[in-house]
Amino acid sequence: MSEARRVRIWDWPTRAFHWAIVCLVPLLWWTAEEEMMDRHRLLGLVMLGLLAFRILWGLIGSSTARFSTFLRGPRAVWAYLGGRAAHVLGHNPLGGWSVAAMLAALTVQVSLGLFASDEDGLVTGPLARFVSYDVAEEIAELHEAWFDVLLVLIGLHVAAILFYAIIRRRDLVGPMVTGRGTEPGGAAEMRPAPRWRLVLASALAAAFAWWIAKGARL
Amino acid sequence: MKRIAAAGAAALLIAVGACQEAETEPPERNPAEAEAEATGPAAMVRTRQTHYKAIGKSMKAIGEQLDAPRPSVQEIRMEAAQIAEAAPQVLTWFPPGSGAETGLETRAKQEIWGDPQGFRRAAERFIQVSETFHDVTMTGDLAAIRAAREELGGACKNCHDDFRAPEE
Repeated sequence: MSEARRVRIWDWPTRAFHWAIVCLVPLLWWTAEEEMMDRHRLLGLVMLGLLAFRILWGLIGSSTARFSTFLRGPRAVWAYLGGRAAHVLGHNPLGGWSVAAMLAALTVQVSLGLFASDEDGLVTGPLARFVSYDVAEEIAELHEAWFDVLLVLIGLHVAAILFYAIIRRRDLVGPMVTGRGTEPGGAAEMRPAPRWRLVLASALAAAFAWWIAKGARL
Repeated sequence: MKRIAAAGAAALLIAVGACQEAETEPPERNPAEAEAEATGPAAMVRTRQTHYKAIGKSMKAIGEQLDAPRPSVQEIRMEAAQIAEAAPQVLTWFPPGSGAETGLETRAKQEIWGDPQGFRRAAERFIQVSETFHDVTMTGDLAAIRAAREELGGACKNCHDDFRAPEE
């Protein structure tokens, strides 16, 4: 059996993204609760940019950040659940799909917000112009209801982290902060992405969020 | 044979009779009908909700014009006129007894009738601000229109904060 060693697991863009989201979700909830709608709107657009970045990074980023690495088929998930996990760095097959679910749920939430309007027609998302007042109002209600879905997924995520910490005695938070963790051994090393790809993904995500903020005008 | 014929005839008569009965019986009431037939103060609930939605639509349309690359002052003016026309009617939309006691879904708070002077003040502010907004749209000055729209939003909020219940 190979010895456990300390290796790089998560690159800094992935980590920065993760902790930015951890801050943004409560802030978005709070600004909505307190009806600070200008800030809510701005933070929502920041979230949009971050999600766009993460999706791009999942395509061209470091190896552990890529969807092709951590999104595995049903057989791999089943094997993992049966305790016959292959030594893969980063997300295990189950964790990988939970990440995808959270990213998808966040994307849905932001997308709904873009088209929403309050009942007074005063506070609107940048894309509300594409839908009628009635539809925008409906979407606002869906946007509010969908937050509960996010809460469930986040709750499961936190529960899983605690499970690993307490039952499996494995710290998952440390690696997401420092980027380094202890690997059981045998897994391929993390391949970081060259800087130009980071610049490219950031620029594209920012441009996309900016374009949406301005009303997605052609 | 005769008995079967008699039974058959009786069954037929009963069936016909039953159909007749069904035709003359009034149809079952559905909530929408009950609402539509609501008279007096209760009827106002639906009326005012329709009007308020129309105001909301106008506000949304105005906001979209102002966000557009080339805002149409004419469009804004039209919507502003509609709002200014609706504003004075507000005080007629809340007759006593048209609150939650109607059993209909309404966000009108009891304060409307508990603090009639406060409500009147808020309603009059809305009238005044919507008139001002309409006047400003006549100037065609976009910067002034934007500022006036902020004021108008403030007038909406002013009344809603005190007299409209939050959404469930």
